[in-house]
Amino acid sequence: MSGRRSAKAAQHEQNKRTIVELTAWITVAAAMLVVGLHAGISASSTAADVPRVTTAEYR
Amino acid sequence: MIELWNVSRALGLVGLLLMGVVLALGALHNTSMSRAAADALPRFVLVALHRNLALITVVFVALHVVTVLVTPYLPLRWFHVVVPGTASFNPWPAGLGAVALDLLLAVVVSSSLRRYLSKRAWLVVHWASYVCFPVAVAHAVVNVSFRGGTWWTLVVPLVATALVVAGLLYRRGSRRRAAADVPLADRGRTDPTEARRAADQATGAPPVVQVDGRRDEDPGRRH
Repeated sequence: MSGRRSAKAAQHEQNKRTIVELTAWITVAAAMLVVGLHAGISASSTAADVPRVTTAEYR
Repeated sequence: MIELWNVSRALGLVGLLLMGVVLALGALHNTSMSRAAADALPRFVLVALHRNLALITVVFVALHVVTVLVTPYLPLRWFHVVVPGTASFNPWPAGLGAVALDLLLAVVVSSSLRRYLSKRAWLVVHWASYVCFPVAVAHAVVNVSFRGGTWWTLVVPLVATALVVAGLLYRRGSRRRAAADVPLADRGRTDPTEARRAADQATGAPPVVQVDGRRDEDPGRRH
């Protein structure tokens, strides 16, 4: 009975670790996506993409 | 400083994508898919993931709002991002963003205070997510400058919308299949006493009898 209880407790701890790890991985993926999108937007943006900036100012 | 404006756009797009994932996870809650996933992982893992990703979404949205406020290219004050219709510059996109932010705050605050609210009140506010998401998508789409070269960022709201629509369609189909398995007379039983009585009738189990010999017609009234 005690063995079953400790196995269940270990499984619960493992599940909690899974939640933390999944959350951390998704956060890292989201941060990397921000970096990638920023690079893409910077590479493809023109003066028309920046509010209140004329083409001359953008250059 | 132009880089800050681009970072703000990237943060907003990722926030929108995360919101789509969170909404899809929420829509899949209590469907056969979450039950199938529960074979590999307990359901509390999925619920905790939904909650954690929602909090991460709030962080990304908060960073998006802060960077929009500090970038010098937008003449926005703090109240412009909270009160819809107060921004004089780009009023429609800014107003849509303010509405989406207010709805997101309502969902977050109501979930934080869930223990003090009735389930019905919490659920009604929580369903505001289904209004918040399309407003946020409209904010993203209207803000994309079709004159510029970043039109391709439209793919992000498109993917997020596809995720949510897929989740909702699956939920609808799953609900229908589940309803077909339940006898017509037992559908929609929310009262525990009625549900127990129906279960007793269905299984042929004798009704619960109290110590004084009376049949327990309504155990809920004893308390």
